[in-house]
Amino acid sequence: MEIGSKLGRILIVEDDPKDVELTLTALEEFNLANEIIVVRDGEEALDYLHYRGQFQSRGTDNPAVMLLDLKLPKVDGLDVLKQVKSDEKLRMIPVVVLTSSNQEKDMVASYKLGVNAYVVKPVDFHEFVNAIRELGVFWGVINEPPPGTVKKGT
Amino acid sequence: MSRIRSAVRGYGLAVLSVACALGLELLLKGRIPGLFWIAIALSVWYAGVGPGILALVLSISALKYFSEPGHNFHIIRDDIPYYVAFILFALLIAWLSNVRRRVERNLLQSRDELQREVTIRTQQARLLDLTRDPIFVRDMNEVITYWNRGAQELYGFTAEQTIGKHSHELLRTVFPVPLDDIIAEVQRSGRWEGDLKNAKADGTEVVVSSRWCLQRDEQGRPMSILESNNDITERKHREEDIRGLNQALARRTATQKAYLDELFEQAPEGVVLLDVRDCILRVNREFTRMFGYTPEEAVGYPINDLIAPDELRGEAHEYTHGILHGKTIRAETIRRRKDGGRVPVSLLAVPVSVPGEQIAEYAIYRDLTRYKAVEGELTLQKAHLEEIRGLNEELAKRSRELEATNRELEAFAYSISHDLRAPLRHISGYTELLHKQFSSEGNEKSNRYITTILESAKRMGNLIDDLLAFSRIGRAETQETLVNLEDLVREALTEVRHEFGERQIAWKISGLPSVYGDRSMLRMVLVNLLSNAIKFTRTRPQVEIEIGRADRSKNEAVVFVKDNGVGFDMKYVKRLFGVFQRLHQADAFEGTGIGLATVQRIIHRHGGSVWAEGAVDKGATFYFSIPTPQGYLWKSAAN
Repeated sequence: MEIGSKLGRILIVEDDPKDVELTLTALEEFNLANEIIVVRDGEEALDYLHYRGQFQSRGTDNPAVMLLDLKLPKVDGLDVLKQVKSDEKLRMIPVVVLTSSNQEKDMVASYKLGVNAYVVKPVDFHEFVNAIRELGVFWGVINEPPPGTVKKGT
Repeated sequence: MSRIRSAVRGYGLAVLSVACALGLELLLKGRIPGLFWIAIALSVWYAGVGPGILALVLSISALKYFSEPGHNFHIIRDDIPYYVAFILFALLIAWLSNVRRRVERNLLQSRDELQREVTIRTQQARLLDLTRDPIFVRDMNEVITYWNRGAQELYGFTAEQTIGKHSHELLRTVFPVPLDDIIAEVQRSGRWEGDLKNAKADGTEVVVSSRWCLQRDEQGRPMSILESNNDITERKHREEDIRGLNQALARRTATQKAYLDELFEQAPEGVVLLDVRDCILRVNREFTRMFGYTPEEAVGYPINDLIAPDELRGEAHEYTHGILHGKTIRAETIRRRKDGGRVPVSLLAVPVSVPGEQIAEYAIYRDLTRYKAVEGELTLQKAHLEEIRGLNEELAKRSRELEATNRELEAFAYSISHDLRAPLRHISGYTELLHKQFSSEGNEKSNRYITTILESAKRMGNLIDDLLAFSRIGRAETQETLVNLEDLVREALTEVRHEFGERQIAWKISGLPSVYGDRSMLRMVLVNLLSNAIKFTRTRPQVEIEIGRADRSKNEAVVFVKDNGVGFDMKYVKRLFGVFQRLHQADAFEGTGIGLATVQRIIHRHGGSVWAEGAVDKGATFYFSIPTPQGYLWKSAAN
C-alpha cells in the first residue's frame, strides 16, 4: 500500500498487521505527508530495495528512511540490516530499528552492523505515538536524506 | 890391592910424618918440643895402629940417635918412662881414632835410613794426592800438617795456604757435638765419624761426611789425626728436600684423612665399616641417630646382632654373606633401633679391601621414615586428587547443564521481550483508539473500564521489563572497578528525581565508601533502594531519607538507606527480598515486587549480603554489604 506524499518516502518493514496499523495511525495523527511503503517481511524488503519481484518496476529512488522490525519471517531484520549496510548502493539509506525488543544483545548487534538509530516500541500507546511521530518528523522531514533519494512533490 | 895401597899409604904416612918431625927438630935444634908426638898422633889417627907403632919406633930411634952424642942405640934406664909415655900416647890416639870412625859409620847409617824414609813418605803423599777424596792431617794442636789435592779441590785452599794453620779456625767448622767429646772419642777408640759443616775459601758452606783416624807414635802417644772428608752437600740438600716433601705429604695425608673423617661423620646417611667377621669397626653420627647406638656401644659387635630384627636375621646374614663374596647389595628393608623400634631403611652395602686393613664391608643406611610418611601422604593425596577430579568432572557436567539452562532462559527471555510485549502494545494501542471514540460520548463507565485496561497493560509491560532486567543480572558479565558510592548515589538521585517531583525530602548523605564492583549493577541497587524509600514515605508530611555507612568489620563495607516511611512488620522481613513479594496492597503503593529481589541478587553476585530493619509506621532501614578487596570473593552465580 502506498500513501501519497510530498516528502521523502518512508519504508516500513513490519510483519504484524496490528503494529502496521498502529504505526500508520500514529503517522496519520500528525498528518505526516510522506509517502509510506509497507513490506511484510525481510525478503520483500530486500526485493523492494533491489527492484525485484513485485517491485521490479518501482521508481528509481531510495527511501529517505527504513523502519525495520527485527523479528521478521523469512529473512530476519538483522540480516536485512547486514545486507543493506554491506551493499555499496544501499548503505547510505538511513535505517532505524523499531522493535519490541529491549535486549542488549539486539542493540549491540544492530549498532555493530551500522544502524542509524534503535527505538524500542513503548507499550503505552501515547508514548508509542510520540515515538513514531518524532521518528517520522526527524527522518522524513528534518533529516537531509543522502543523494539519490528523490523527494516527490518538492 | 886397595888394602895394600892403603897399608902402603898408612906406613908411608908414618915414615913421612916422623921424617918431617926429625927434619924440623934438626933444623930448629929442639926449640919446638913434641914434634915427634905430633907425628905419632897423625900416623895413628889417620893410618891406624900399625903405622902408629912404626912411627913410635922410628921416633924413639931418631930421638936416641940424634939426642946423644955418639949416636949409640943403647937403651938406658932413664929413657924407659919416656918410651912408655910414647906408647901410652900412641894407644890413646889409636883409641880416639877408633871411636871417631865408629861414630862416623853410625852417622852415615842414620842418614841413609832417613833418606829411605823420606822417599817412602813422599811416595805415600803422592798416592794420597791421587785420590779425589779430601784428606788432611793435623797434629794434636789442630795444626794442619798435610793437605791433599782432594782437599784443595773441595775447599779451594792450597797446601801452602793451609799447612801450619789451625784447622777448625780456617775451615770454620761446625760440629754436631762438642769438639771435646769428639776428641775424647777419637782418643778412646782411635776414630770418629760424623757430618760436619765447613766453609770453603770462597765462603760457601759445604757439608761433609768426616772420618777421623788417630795416629800414634812408637810410644803410643797420640800424634796426629788424619781426617778424610766426603762432600755430601748435595745429598744433604736432597735429604732436606725429601724431608720437606715427606712432611708436606704427611700434612696432606693428615688433611685428607681429616676431610674423610669429617665426610664420614657428617654424611647424611648412616655409615658403618665392618671387618670380615661382620663386626663393626666404625659408625658415624647419623648411624647413631638412626639406630641409637653410640660408637662405643657399636664398635666390636656383629652388625646383625645389633640392628637386624629377629624376623629378618636370615635376610641380613644373606646380605653380609653375599658381600663377603664380592657382591654389592642394594635393598629396602627394616632395621631395629636400640630401643626396639623399627626403622625403614634403604641399604647400600659394598665389599671393600684396603691393603693392610681387614675391612670387609662398607654399608650405608638411609632412613626412609620420613619418605615412607610422605609416600603415605602422597597416596592419600592421590586418592583426594582422584576424588577432586571426579568432583570436577561432575562440576563440569553440572556447569554444562547450567549453561544449557542459561541459554534456554536467555532464549526464553528474548522471546518474552519480543512476543509478550507486542500483544500488550496492541491492547494498549487499540484500547486507546477505542477510548478516543468513546470519550466524545462521555460514558463515564466506559471510560473507567478503558482506563483500567490501559493501566493493566502498562503494569504488565513494567512487570515484563523488570523481570527481564532481573533475569539479566544472573547472566550478564560483570565489570569490576573501583566505584565511588557517594557519586553513584547522586547519579541515582537524578534518575529517581521524577518519582518525587515537588515533594520536599530531607536527604542526608555522608561517609559513603568506594567499593569494588560493577558500576551499573550497583547503580541499579541504589536506584531501587532510593525509589523504595521515596515511594514508602509518600504519605509522610516530613520526609527524611538517610544514606550512610555502618561497617561491621574491616572486611566489608556496609551501606544503609534509612527512611521514615510506612515501614514494615519484622515478621515478614524474609519475604521482602522475594520475587513478586509485596507487603502492601497493590493500590496502596505501586510496584512489581521485583526491586528488592534485584537488589539482593546483585549484592549476592558481589559476595555481599542484604538485610533490613523496620517496624510498621516507624520507617525502614535497608542494608547491603560489599566485601573490601582483601576479603572479596566474587560469586560467579547468583543465588
